[in-house]
Formats: sequence, C-alpha cells, structure tokens
Amino acid sequence: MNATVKTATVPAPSRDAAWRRLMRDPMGLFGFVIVSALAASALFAHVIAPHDPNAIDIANRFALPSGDHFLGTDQLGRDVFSRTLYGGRIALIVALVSTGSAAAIGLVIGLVAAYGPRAVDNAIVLVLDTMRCYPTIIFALAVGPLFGAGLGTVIAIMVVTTFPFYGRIVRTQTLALKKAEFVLSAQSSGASAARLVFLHMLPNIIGPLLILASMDIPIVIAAEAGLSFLGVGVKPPTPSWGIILDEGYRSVQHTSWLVVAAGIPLVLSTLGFTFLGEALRDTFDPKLGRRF
Amino acid sequence: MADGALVEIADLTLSYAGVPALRSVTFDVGRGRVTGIVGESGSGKSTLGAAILRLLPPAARVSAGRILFDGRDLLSLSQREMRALRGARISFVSQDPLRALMPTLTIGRQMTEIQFRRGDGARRKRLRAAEMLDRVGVPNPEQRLRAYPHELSGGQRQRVSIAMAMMMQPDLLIADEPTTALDATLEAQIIALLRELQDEAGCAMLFVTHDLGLLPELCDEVVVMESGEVRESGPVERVLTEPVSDYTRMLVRCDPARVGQKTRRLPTRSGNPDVGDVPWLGPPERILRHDPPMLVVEGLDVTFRRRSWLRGALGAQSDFIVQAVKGASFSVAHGETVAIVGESGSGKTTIARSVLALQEPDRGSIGIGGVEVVGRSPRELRPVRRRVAMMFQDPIGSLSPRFTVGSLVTEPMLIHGIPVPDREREAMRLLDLVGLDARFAERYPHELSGGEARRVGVARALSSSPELLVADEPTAGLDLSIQGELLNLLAEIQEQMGLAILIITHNLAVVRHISDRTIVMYRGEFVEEGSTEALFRNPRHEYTRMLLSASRHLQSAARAPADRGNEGAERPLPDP
Repeated sequence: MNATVKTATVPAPSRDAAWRRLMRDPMGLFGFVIVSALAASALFAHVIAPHDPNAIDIANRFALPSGDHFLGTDQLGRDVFSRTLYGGRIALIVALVSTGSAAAIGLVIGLVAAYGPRAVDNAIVLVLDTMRCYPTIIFALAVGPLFGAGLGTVIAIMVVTTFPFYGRIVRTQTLALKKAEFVLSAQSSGASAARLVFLHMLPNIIGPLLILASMDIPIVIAAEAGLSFLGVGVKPPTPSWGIILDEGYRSVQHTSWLVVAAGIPLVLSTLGFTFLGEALRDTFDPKLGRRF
Repeated sequence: MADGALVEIADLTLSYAGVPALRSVTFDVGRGRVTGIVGESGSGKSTLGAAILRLLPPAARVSAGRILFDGRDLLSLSQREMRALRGARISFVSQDPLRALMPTLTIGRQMTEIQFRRGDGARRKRLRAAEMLDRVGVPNPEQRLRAYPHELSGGQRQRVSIAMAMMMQPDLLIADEPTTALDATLEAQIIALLRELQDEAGCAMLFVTHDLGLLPELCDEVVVMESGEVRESGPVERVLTEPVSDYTRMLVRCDPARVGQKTRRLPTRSGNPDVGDVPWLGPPERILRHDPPMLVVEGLDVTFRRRSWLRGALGAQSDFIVQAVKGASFSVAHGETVAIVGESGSGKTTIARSVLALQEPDRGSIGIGGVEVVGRSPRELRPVRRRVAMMFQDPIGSLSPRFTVGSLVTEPMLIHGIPVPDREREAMRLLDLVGLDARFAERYPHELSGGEARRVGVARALSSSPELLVADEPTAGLDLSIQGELLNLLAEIQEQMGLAILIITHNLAVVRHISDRTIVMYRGEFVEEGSTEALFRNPRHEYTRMLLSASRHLQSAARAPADRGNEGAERPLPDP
C-alpha cells in the first residue's frame, strides 16, 4: 500500500546514516568513547605516561594514588598508571592481531568447507569441532611451556583456540547463502564461482563476522591477562595487564589497591568493546536496522 | 446488552512509533455474525486483529478510541482481565499454522494444555481434544494427538489451530489470513470448515483477508480498509456488487477472477479501466509455431535424495528419496506463454530450476534454442544462460542485498561481457523499460516494496536480452492492483521482444488471463496439458477439475448453507 510514500520516507542507507544511528545509541556512544580512549592511550603511551614504566623507586613502593602517581605504585615503586598505559599496547596488539588472524583463517576455511567438495567439508568440520573442544586456558597451559612464554605464544594460542568458531560460523552462513534466491539468481545468469563467492556471498558474511570479532576482543584481552597472570603469557618486566594483576595479587598483604588498579582497565576495555560490538550488531543487521 | 453488537470499535486511532497505523476506525461485529476485513498490505487489517486481543508490539500507541467487547472497553482492562478473555472468549487463528503451534510439544499435549481453565481430569481433556480433532476433519484423531506439528501437513496443521481456537467455545474468533499459506483446494476446505464451525457454535468471527474472492463465501459484512482507514463497510453482497468508495471499486476491478472474459491485459490500480475488457482472440501471431521451439523438455526425471555421509560411507541406502518430477515433456515456442500449475510440492519449481541448470536431473533432456543443457559444465552453460532468465519467487530475497538496484540490473551484462559504454545510462534504460524512476538506481533491495522489487527483477532478467523468461510465482506476495500492473508489463515486453515465457504458479485466476497453454502438474507428473481456453472450459483429468472447482467455488457468490454439506472434511485426492 502506498508504495511510493513508503519508499520515499526511507533514507538511503549511507555509511553516514549507520554512523549516526550508532552514535545515537547510548551504548554505542559509550563503547566508542572507551575504545577510542583506549586505542589513543595505547598508541601514545610514550607521550602520555608521566613516568618510565620500568623505573624502580623502592623508597616509594606501595604508594596510594596521588597527583604524581595517578594509580599509585607497585611493589618496586613503579608507576602503575604508566605501566597500565603500556600494558594497553600489549592488550590491543594481542587482541587485534589474534582476533584478526583467527577471523581471516576462519573465513577462508569456512568458505572452502561450504563451497568445496563434500569430503573436504566433512574433514574440515571434524577438525574444527575437535579443536573447539579444547578450553583456551587448558590448551595454553599444556602447549604454552613447549614454546616458551611470550607475546608470540599468546597470540598463537589465541588464534588456534578461536579460529574454529569463526570457521564454523562462516561455513554455516555460506551454506545458507548458497541456497538463497539472490545467489541462485546470479548463478542462473551465468556468474562464475569467484563472482558468486566474492561479490554476492562474502559481503553478506563479512559484516556479521566483523561484529562477532569485535565482541570477541574483550574475551581475548581478558584471556591475555589471564595467561600472563598464569605465567604462560608475556614475561614479567614487560607491563601487561595480567602481569600487573599478578604482581598486585602477590603483594595483596601489603596493599589491596594494586589489584583494584590492575582491574580497572580490564573492566573498562571489556565493557567498551562489548558495548561497541553489540551496538554495531544492532546498527548493521539489516533486519534490526530500522528500529529507530 | 444481549441485543447490542458483540464488538464495537469506535474511533480507534493507533500508531507505531509515531507512524499512524489506524485512523478513526469505527465498525461493529454483531453477535454470531462474520465480518470480513479486507485490504492490501499495510492497510492495518492485521493490526486491528492484534488490537482487539491487545497483543500489539510495544511500539504501538493507541491515541484515541474504544474497543467495546460485550460492553467492556478492552483498552481499559488490566493484563490479568485481558488474559481471562484471551483463548476463552476471544480466540485467534493465524496465517502460519507451523509457527503458531509449539514445535516441541505433541498436538495432544497442546490441546489439553489450553483446557487449563476447566477442572476436568487429564483423560476427559484428552477425549475432548480427540473429539475436536475429529470435528475439524483430521483423520485418526487418537493417533494424531501423539504427533508433533512438523509431522502434519499444512492443511492439517491449520485444522489443528482451528480446533484449538474453537475448543473453548469463544464468543469471537479472529482469523488472520488463515488460508494464505494454503493451496486452492485446501483453502476451499478450510473456508468451508470455518463456516460450519461458526454456524454450529454461533460465535462471531472477524475474518482478515486480502482476497475478495473469499468474502462472499464466508462473511456477512465486510469492512474495506486502506492506509489505516475504513473506506467502506456494509453487507458483502452490496459492497462487492455496488461499491461506494473509489478504493473498493478499484479492488473489485483489479481482481482477475472477476474479469469475466479471458483478456490479455488486466485492470490496474492506476485506471485504464477498459483495458480489462479487451477480449483475448485466439492464439495471437506473436507465437511463432513453425520455428523450432525455444524450450524443449523431454522425459525429465528429478529425484531428491538425502543420505548422511557416514551411513553412505558404510554403504547404507538413502534414507530419503523423493521423486519430484516424473517424465515431464513439454515445449515453449518463441513468443508463447506456457503456465505450469499445481499445488505446492507438485514439482513445478523443480522443473524451473532444472531448465535454469540449477538442478541436475536424473534423466531426460532440456534443449534451449536447440542447445542441450543437461550435463554441461558451468563454462559450457554460460552462452546458454545469456538466452534464459529467471524471476525467482521472493521478489526482495532474489536481489543481492548489498548491491544497488543500478548494479543489480546491469550485472548480467557484465557477466556475459556485453559491451556497455555507460553502465549508468544502461541501468536507466532498463529501469525505464519496467516503469521505474531513475532515482531507484541508487536504492538497495530492502528499501523497495514488493511490487518495486518485482519490477527490478524483471529489469534484471531482461538485461541480457534473453529469449526465454522463466517466472516462478511472479505474483506471490503482491497486492491485486500491483499484480495486474506486473502481468501487463510482462505481456507488453513479450509483445515487443517476442519472448517465450514459462510461468510457474498456483494462481489459476491469473493463468486464465495470461497464458496461451497450461500444464497441470500433480505429484510430480503432468496430468493434463492444453490450450488455456480449452483446459478451463473443459478439464478432462479429475485433478484439474478439482483444482478448478476449488478456485471457482471461492469466486462464486455466497451459496445457501444447505449446499455446503460436508465440504470441510478432508477429501481423498485422486491418483495421478
């Protein structure tokens, strides 16, 4: 009914409109602000940090927050605020590199499984499902020591334990899209397999995948902290949020403040990425897109 | 109180997030009367049903008006009081019986559950459920009570929903397009059943539909709605024969079933009233009979199998074999329109997909313009695909969601390497051809209405200048007025370009007007084939007769109740 009226009032879905919708969502705005603050502080840690993160000042250990040390100092008198800023670098590197690689690997494997021959699909699904069974932490504790602690090991463990989830989702999405009428329509007009996959299916898979990845980032950040806390991750003098937490935990008899200080960035970044991810999902999902 | 109307809706005004959905709607539903609400999509007819049940989405706001049910204003009742009415005094039958039934509980469990208001024992409730199933014509009720919804056919599921709605002997039954998801023969049975049950129980019914043909069969009064407003209301007979409002006149005029003569063009919303009166004069010259036909299908067999890979590896038989098409042979000449009709599941769409080489047949041959299609590699098929285009069932779902209309309509040219100096101009030309404005080129599929998306589908289909167009349910989901426009467009294009058209549909009213030859399909086989005129006038196969009588029966004027007999019962279908 009133087709002309109806279409005339629907604005074109430019990126601008989506952006404005995202910013109008309080959760989206909150997430965006936290995530950008986090990214900026990590990127410019060397400029912002008031102290050298590894400068030891034993005389001034276990100081509570003050004008000089915003988050106090640790058991060696190092400035916790500066260490947190540098720790953000590690967290973001691990999160972005491992989530990005896992999503990319998952995308390729999922597409191959869904589009390739049946036997390949069966083999891939078997492997993915087997790998999904390993809990991240147990896997890390088992495999981590073999390769030695370090940033590379953390990233590798995160990639190996998360890509099967992406692979599974991409495969399912692709299988559903393969039978979608618009794909059949392109196929019936003679489109090549490459055209079908890259122009018609991929754009419809990659959106949900990116949203999923953005919601996975906080999990990876927390896992990195956890692995570093357990000693499988980044090695001590390097300031990682997990290590700050671990050191605070060891000195908990002297002061409980350190544990709190180390927890703040973890809580904030987890909330920020989760809110942003959820707002992104609401904004870009075409079926939810018109809720405003 | 007892002599007043059961439902009195006065001045009801309602909006969804600020967008008006109902404006000053006023009408009554008399006790024991059947009131039809008819309108096209977006007219607010379903909103009205939901408003009476107070089951509106949270964004809905009622800004004015009253809904009096037996003298009480439903809008002022508490949730608790509303709950006491729902299912007991007011019940509801929805369009999609599969989604209306809980998938994980048996029919019996669901049917006893809704009797929770009665203090009877479980056995008594189950007995009543079985009686009710028997009453609505479900065979073997005892056994059916143990079935899950997915184990029943679409018609049976709708019977179960009706049984559940009627079980508590409501005063008002609201039926929202209860037959839209069903085939013509099932539709006729369900309508007859509703009428019988309504007569028996003496309840009032609000019957929401978009199909004018159903009104005389079932309703006493009718309310015609457009854009949330009541355009006209009154006794069915009077509204359909002497409509007062322009809108109702348009609706009546656009119903292809009401155009008595076979015509090539159908009347549309925008007018052109005499177009519908142009009679169809024998086979036209556009059909090139002496040339070799554009499409020749011979002995086509298609089977669907499902076998789990593990069992397959262990050498087990397929768990599941369906022969979708059995030995289909037919041809379509240049310039000719051939329709394949049949119920859902009869194998029509499978034939269309085989012609487009989207489905590998087990046996048989498909020749397109003299080239064999079966068994060709994608590379070899490409030149053939340029000559054939398909319009898929779902107008919006068949358009790639991240493409603009402009790139969608020109994509086939790109695929086939047809030189296009200016892609934008080409898109404009194609859009113009199907009567769409140039500004549509920038839109995305989800911003189109069903009718607009259909036109885009036609433009895309035409862009590689095909010689054969396969249209799968081209009128599905379109309002009557838009349906006429689309079919006229196809007819025009066919005349201009000499296109061969294969239409797959279950809409007999439309087939009668637009196709030259018609093939009737039943359970995978062709049971009858002939010129559309002859087939409609003198059907030979029992199934064809049944199909025609089902749709004619719906279009005939209201008949005396005595005539109705036991039509609501499930009838055995003939063997093909």
